Amino acid sequence: MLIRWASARPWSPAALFAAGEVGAWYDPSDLTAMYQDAAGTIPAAVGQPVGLLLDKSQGVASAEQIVNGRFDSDISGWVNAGGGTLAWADGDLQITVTGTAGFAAQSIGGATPGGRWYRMSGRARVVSGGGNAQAYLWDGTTAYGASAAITSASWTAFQTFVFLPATVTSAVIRLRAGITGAVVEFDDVSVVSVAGNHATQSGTARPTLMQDAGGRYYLAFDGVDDSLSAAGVNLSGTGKVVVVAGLLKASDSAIGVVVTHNDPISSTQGWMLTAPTVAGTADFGFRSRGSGSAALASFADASVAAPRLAVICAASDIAGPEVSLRINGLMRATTSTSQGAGFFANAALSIGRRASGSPFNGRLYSLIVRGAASTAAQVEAAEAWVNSKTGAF
Amino acid sequence: MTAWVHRNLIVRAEHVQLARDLCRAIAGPQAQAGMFSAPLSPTGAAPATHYASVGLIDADFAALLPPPDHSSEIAALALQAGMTVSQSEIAEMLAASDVSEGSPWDAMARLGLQMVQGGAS
Repeated sequence: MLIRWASARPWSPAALFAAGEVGAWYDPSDLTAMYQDAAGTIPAAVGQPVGLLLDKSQGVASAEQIVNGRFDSDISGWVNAGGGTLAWADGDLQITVTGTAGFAAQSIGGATPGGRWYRMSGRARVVSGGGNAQAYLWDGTTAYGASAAITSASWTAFQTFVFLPATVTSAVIRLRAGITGAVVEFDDVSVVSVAGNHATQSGTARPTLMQDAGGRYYLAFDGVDDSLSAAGVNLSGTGKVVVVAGLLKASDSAIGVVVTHNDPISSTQGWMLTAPTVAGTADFGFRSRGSGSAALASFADASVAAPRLAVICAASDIAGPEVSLRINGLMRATTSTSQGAGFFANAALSIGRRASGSPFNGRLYSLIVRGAASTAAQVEAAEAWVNSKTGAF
Repeated sequence: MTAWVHRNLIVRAEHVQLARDLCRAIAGPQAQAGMFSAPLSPTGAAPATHYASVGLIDADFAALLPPPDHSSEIAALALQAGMTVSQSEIAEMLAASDVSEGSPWDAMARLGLQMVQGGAS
């Protein structure tokens, strides 16, 4: 007897990126994917600000960049970068500071370390001499993602997420020990590259992680200064994009930028999802631009007046040309106005606000950006998944 | 564990760089980028006359904000971080600033200010 087994595995937005499609998948319902600070040192909980929102489109896949971070039998792989002596000490790397600070280092990222995210972690302790321990990435000029200085005699863990700019062509992890005469030890050191277009913010401009009455998680954007930004989202190889956002629009009084790529699109190629698009109007809209002028698909109607919970699916094809806007699974606006030619850019993705203002006032339950041609089935699956996190229809 | 409190901070445009620098000095470079980034003006049109920071801040930071005046303590913390600024400069900035809880829209209305709109194109 032939038995056919149906897959019980639920559909995941990860399927949209399985072939290496560029984009991002932000999921505020995943509490393992958010941190209070941009450096990713403190996990975020409900009622707390979110300074780092991990992009799950690449599965937050990680690849170890260094060798021998556990120092099980020796300190091979590490070089003395000056200021002290290095020794193996019963499973740890020990630095005795002879200058003002001593350093151990190891290359990371191969020939192209720039333009990528890394998670640096480990633990350290000060054995004697009243010194301190710190780790950071170093390109020969600038320190990136420096951990907080550890001064305790007890083993203290550190973890930092850090983005190396695309201009960085070589980098090392530096283990730093200060001060003169101090003896400091490191163990369990790791630097992994963390795939994805992770979004960050700092200060009061961080959105707040919240839960609605139905238990659904969302990021609250205050309509004043809240936003998140992901650097270097590379859509330069495509002129097609689909954006699916689960949101609650809290107000129609002022223009609200939900998400935009390569702001400002008035002068360069890019796209922008707005809620509302026109101040004082009950609408949603999506603009997209190639080498020409921006084309707008918008839907204005009392049925979408704020406060309005909605799953928005916006799509653009520069070459089509076509811009479309679906609301809660229904096609509400399309335009075939020319956007010019070409592809989108390798540029920042801004969530909740553009550089010049127009902050979004509302909630973001989920956001998917996919820089590729998408089938109707893919769009509908993405809408259904986002709606499961939003409860809009 | 950090205790978070909500505050609306509004400073005059001529003080915004000092306010950002003090945030950087006291809370670190990561804090500066996300502070006082929202421009305000009486008409909602540029140029901005004020800048707002709205959201959750560390309770220890909130305790430094007026009233009462903590300019001497802020100047000392800035100096520890390598930033030299006089107490009188800080006091002048704080005296011209508005710190409130609750709705930022209420705070703006009370001060006769609106968000400077960035447009959607």
